[in-house]
Amino acid sequence: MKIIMKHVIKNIFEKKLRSAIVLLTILLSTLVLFIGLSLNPIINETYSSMLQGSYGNANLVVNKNADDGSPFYETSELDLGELTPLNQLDLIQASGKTKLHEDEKTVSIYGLDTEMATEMDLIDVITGEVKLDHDTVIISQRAALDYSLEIGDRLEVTRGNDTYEFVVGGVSKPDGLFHSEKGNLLLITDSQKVNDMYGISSMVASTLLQVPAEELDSVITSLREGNKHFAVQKINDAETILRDEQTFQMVMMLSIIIIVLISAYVISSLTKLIITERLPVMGTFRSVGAHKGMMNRVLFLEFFVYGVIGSVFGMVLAVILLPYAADVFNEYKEYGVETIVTYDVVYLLTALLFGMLFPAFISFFRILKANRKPLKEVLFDTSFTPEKRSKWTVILGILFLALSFLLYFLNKYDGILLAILSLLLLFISVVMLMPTLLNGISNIMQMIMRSSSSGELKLGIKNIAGNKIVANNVSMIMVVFLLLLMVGISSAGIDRYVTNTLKKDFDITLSLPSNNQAIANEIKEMDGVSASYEQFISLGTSTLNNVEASFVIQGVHDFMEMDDFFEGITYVDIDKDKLTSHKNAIILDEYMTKKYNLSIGDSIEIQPVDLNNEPIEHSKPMEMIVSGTMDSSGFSSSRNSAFIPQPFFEAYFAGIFHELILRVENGYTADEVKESITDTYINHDLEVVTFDEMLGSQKATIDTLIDGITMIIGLGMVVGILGISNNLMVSFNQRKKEYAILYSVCMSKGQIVRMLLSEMLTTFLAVVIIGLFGGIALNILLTKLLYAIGMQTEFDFTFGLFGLLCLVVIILLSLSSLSLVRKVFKLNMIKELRYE
Amino acid sequence: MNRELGRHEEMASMIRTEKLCKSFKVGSNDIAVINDVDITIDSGDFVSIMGPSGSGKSTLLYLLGGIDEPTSGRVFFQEKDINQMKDKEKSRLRRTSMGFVFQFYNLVQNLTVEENILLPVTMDRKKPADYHEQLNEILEIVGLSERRNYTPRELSGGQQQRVAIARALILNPALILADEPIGNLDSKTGTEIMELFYRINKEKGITIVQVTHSEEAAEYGNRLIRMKDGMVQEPVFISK
Repeated sequence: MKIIMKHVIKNIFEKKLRSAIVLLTILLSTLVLFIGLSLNPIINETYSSMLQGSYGNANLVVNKNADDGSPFYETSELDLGELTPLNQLDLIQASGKTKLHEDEKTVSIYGLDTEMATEMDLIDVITGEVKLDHDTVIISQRAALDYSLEIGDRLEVTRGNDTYEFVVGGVSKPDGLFHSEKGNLLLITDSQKVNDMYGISSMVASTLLQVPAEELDSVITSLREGNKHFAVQKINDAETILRDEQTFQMVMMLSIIIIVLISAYVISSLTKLIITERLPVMGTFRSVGAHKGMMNRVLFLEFFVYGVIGSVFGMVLAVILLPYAADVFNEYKEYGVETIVTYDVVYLLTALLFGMLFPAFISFFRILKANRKPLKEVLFDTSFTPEKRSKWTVILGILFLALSFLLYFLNKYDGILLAILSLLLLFISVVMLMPTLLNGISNIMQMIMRSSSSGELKLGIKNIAGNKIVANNVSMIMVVFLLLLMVGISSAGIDRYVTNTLKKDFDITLSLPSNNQAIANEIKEMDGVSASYEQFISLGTSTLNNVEASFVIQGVHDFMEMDDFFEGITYVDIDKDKLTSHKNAIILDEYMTKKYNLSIGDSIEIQPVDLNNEPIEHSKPMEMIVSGTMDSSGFSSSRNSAFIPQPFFEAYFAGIFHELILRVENGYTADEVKESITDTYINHDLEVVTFDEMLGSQKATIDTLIDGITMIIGLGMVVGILGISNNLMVSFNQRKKEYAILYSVCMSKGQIVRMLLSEMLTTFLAVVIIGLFGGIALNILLTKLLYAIGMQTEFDFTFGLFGLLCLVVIILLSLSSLSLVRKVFKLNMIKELRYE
Repeated sequence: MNRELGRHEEMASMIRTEKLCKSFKVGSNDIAVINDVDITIDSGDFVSIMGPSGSGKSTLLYLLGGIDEPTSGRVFFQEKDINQMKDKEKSRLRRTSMGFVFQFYNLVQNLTVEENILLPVTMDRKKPADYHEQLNEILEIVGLSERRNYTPRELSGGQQQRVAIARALILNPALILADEPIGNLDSKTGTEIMELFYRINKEKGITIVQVTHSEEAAEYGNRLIRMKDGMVQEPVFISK
């Protein structure tokens, strides 16, 4: 055993280049798996801690429902009943402008009790004083750094015609309340100072409460009962979901699957070559008495040792790189939100075990197959074997291809499992059909080149189909090519949707506090607003054909008015009679009606649900009559919008979101109107977003996601390129004898080089042809997968990307060929021909 | 030696060597494998080179074929110094004027019998269709007409060696160099192959130089060159 172990270790060290490539492949796949698995929880943790951080220890927020036109109230107006909160902080806000480094900045001024804010982890003063004088303010460390502000510096804030002067009295860590600072400036001061700015006294605009978590629900109920003029919300509900976790997770899983597939294919291909190379040595072992089982174990051990070394190095590197990788996905990093990196032992062990066992597992069947050969064949077999095209492989390949498309057509409800299975079958079928496809391309090329007198050119073309090693290279290039194409199509499709498909139906959108119609009415009448539309949105689920479907339910006063207002919505087929006669009429997107085979007149049951997809208390499934279909692709990417009459909505669906959509009058800009709204309603907890900001934010999210995926796929490409280069290099070593034979009987070294170049060009041609058809097939099947993760948009085959990948392939092949040319000219032909 | 020179004066030499030396570096030492060899092989000869393992017979054969390069000395093929030729010229020479037959056949495994035989034709930028008759004739000679579309893996050792011989014959070379052509075959098949070589030599007048360990195989030739420690012993003529 000691000798065998020594042999294994020696092999690894002696074959330096090949070992380096195998180890690097294992290292990268382990690394990507661990980082990929860890990212989602890390980003979730970062965002939730940021969210939580914005409110410190508070778990309830109370605002006034401004029926009287004023958002302010005295603390005593809030009836806490018998509740004694653990902590309570009253806030009042104002806004203004200041000039910093010649740039005009929007300033938010929070008036509050800074000692209580410190107690509730809302601020953390690191320099200066916590207790503030009347005109002093606390700024964030980020603002201090960005604008070179120090304790004692003066800040002039203008608000309308008034100017206020503040002195920097303290600098806080950029956490807690300062999370909301983003690109602007946030000043924290004494609440009386802000009261003075409004010309009022002892008033507040919101109250943060910290109550025992277990009493939260009962406290909310009693507070709501005792304070009809106040909105009481949980902190978590107060914020809408910041990120689309499911999409992120799905795309991340997809990336992991792709990289694992590339690694698997590279390792599998390497094991094939390594085992072929090892066979004569194995024969020698067996000729001196080692049995097949022992040989299996020796080879298995070799791959296991590779796995152990590669995965351990991979894990060490992954642990080091995880914080940097997580930072890439932290969209709020530039606003000072620190990425909270945690190392999950389960993910660590999963990746480690994967890296250790993966190569051994992949090589296992190949080892068994190789050692099944008779001893004589093992001893004398050379690696130069023709490519065999098994009839069954071709039949299975065609069957798998057909099955992949069959699954595509059967997958009417865009199920994710069927979509993944269909894609997987396509890849397997491409690999299985590759020899036949190459043979076809080679035959066509031979026919075209029939009149050519260049024998080496013809031999090169023939080798693509007939030579196992060359065919293996083409297969590997093809699989990596298609996988990268898959990522490219998805990324380009998502990107295109965000930038092109989404229609600019509004200039400003703002979310309104619940039951606050007064503000909505006021804003509609504000200067600069030319048109407005109020949206009442809730959620619902329905079981259609045994599949659960989610809908975004919108209450609509006038269906035609809605159609007129939103360019992104087009009614396809409307039954006006049904719409007017049925109080429970519903208009669905045609994507949904086609998917679930629904027609006008059909009835469906929709269960109202909350943000967590749980049925709303005391609600029951409501029967709705399909009364129209629409194309809402320019309105929402998931195409699951459903419009119902407003009275029915108000009666049975709780309004989760109340939004106001505004168009801006000519002569005004969206930013000006937004500023005017935020200034006027700074104390009303309104979230005001311009269309460009929304698009920018969506684009930023997508860009971050795509950046991250590009990073992971970049690593996959490195693995793929390493595999391809290794294949080409190893194949050169294995083909040395073939070159020597050709040299000895009929070819010059120049002719051998030309034959290799001909192989390279035919390989490239095969990649272009198979890549084109494979890419188109992939594009069709991939659409289902992207639909399954909520991206209901068109995903076109991008010729630009296809061309780029072709360019990468030709560069890679050319570079590899240059190295081969040099090697052929330096090859000692005599050494390769067996003689004493 | 006199007899050797005498023959050379009578006939044009096919191939000859002058003070041919070949040494390999093993560590820091130069080991001489071929040492000052002067031989002349005439057109139509069937020469067998024999000697113990390590005597340099195969090295000599590869030097004669221009596959290997000497450390010093010269090899003349039809009075042309082959080591003065460029790689391209040497390849053309090997393709058109010489044929090689190896102990392990050295066929291209992914090509059929017919394609293997026509390999020198295609590499010489000639049209395979123009060699249809020669191909049929050679396949007839080597007895593989029925297996022209088989790949080497589907053939026995003897059949593969026949393919190698046919490949060597296709461009009607002046010289065939064979390195232990029956070393990997059973005696019956070996005899068949040697008879084939004999017929080729007699009927086509092709000069054959073979390296062999077999005395029986050597008897098919008309000359025998014995080698020992890289040097040629006294040549022997075999009366036929």
